[in-house]
Amino acid sequence: MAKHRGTSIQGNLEDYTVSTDTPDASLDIQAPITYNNSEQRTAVVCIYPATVVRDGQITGEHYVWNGAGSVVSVRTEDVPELLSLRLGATGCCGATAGGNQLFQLP
Amino acid sequence: MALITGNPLGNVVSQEELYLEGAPYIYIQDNNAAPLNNPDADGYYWGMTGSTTYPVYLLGCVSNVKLTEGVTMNDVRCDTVGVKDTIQKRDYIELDLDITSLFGLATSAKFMNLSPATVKTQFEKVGMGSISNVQYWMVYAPNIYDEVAGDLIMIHLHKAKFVSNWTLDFKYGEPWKLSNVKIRAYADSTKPTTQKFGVFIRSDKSALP
Repeated sequence: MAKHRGTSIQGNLEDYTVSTDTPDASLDIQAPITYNNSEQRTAVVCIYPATVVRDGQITGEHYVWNGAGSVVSVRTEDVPELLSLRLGATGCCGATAGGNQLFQLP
Repeated sequence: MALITGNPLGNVVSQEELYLEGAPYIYIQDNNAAPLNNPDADGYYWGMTGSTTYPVYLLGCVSNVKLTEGVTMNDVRCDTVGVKDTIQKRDYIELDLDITSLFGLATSAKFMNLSPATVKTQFEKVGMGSISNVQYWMVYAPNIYDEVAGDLIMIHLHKAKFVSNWTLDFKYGEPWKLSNVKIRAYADSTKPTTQKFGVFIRSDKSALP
């Protein structure tokens, strides 16, 4: 007949504390997924030599470019209107017709 | 042509029957940008490539364009004999012009030494403040004198600055005109000594086969 060794677990349980607080912030918790509400952004470069201030035609978001070469991340919905902007309707004396382009994609 | 006085003997170089007319186009670009030909196969520095950071500006309706120079000249005077020589030192090359195109203000701000422009919906604004003494420009001024053959002449200045006290005339019955604009080109120590102020280049297939 086999011998069974009896063990009491009472003493071991007393060494542990069970917490019901919220998890530690350092834990990697997956962010909640949202649908049909994404905010896509696109980098747009100013190629006009001035500080250019515009409000997005679609979103109304306020953008400021600090001179030629500066890049601002804009809402993608506003990009087509920004790329189509031309400053000055007519070019003089050898200039390309249609005015000066203000923005381009990098 | 035989002259009654007699022609010079030996090697004589004559000039061409070619006369140009009208002003060149005038482009400027920040001097920090590299010239398009930097240098070309013959060692000359000229041309422009507009970049995002350093755009090329085309000056609009220009008139009364003149290219001149500043030279320091001092005679070598020997009081026993008189003036035996004149020592010359080129100080600068200068392009003088008037401009009738005043817009956009972002471009006018360059040749009027105004503040950088702010452009927003329906507005562009520039300030009249201090003049920047650290802004230098390259100047590229081509003139095509035979459109069919594509013959041209061009001037390229390496390191220039707008130095004049301009005058904006508001005359009755006349277009507004900015007069007394001077682009003064200084010696650019980064270029070869023989072209430290700039270069002249001509292309003519028929005359220069």
